[in-house]
Amino acid sequence: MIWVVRMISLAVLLQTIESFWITPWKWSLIRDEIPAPIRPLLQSNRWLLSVRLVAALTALFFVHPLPIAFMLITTWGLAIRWRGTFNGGSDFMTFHILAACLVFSLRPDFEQACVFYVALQIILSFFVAGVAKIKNPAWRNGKALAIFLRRAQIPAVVSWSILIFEILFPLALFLPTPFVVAAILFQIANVYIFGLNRFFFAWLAGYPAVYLASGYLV
Amino acid sequence: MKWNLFRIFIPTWRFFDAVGARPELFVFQEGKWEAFLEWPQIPWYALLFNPNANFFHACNNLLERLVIEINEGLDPAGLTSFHLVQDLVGDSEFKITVNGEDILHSRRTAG
Repeated sequence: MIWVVRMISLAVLLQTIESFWITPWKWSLIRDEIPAPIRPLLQSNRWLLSVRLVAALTALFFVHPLPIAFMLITTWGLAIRWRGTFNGGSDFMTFHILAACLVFSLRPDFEQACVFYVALQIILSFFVAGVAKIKNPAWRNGKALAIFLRRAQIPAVVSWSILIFEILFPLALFLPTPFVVAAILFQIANVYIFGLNRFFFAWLAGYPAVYLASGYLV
Repeated sequence: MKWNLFRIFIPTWRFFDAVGARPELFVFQEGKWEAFLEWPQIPWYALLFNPNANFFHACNNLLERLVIEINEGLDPAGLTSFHLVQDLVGDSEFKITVNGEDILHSRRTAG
């Protein structure tokens, strides 16, 4: 689980550095949506990012509840500032892995529960996505993938490969390596096709938990 | 508003499942409508650092949210999403289309 802490700290560090180059929604336009008592904490985007940067750098080398708690709170704060989440899935994964890491840092005897929680989120992220897609005829005949990839046509077999990979991902609990390798390649493709780099590092932080959970089960 | 506060607590793992027409933002410049959000170039170092693409996705999510809110019958002029889009395009006149059909036109929306 220590590796999960270190890797999610790296993910948070990279996200935070990148966020310094992103202009947030204008405070005067969103402030009324934020409860008055927490407004002073969220008003300065740079302040939130700076705290997050220091916390991530610290947690990278020292597994301690304090920097993890700061990463968790600032991740939450930034999500509120972006009106729910900035990047959807990657924010969810980062937040929930951080929550498990915080519990682990406070109560190392809960390590197994934390490992299973992270592994469950990783598995659900693929499985739920796969089930949602397979219900859609456009995914089954390959048209959906062609639309997302902005191509005229994509063979249905490519679409089905993604569907089968995602739906079978729970088997990673028994056979982690092929599924984790496939997931890493899949997410690298997503980085260079859709620009979704934050997903790569957030999920990468969760894969050690899949291996650990597999070890507990098998 | 409460949804904004606690949304991150409830993960949703449905990625790219819906294939529908996506909202598009156009600004009126030099006598014609031009797409405002262009798909960004993905640089070779995108794995580590890719602020443009991430902001692009955030802007598209904002547009989708605004269209959902308009479809719920809410007055655009009173919506934070509308004012954020307005801020995004600066002083330009803008419109949002879905499937080529105008959903919102800034000139017709008070605010």
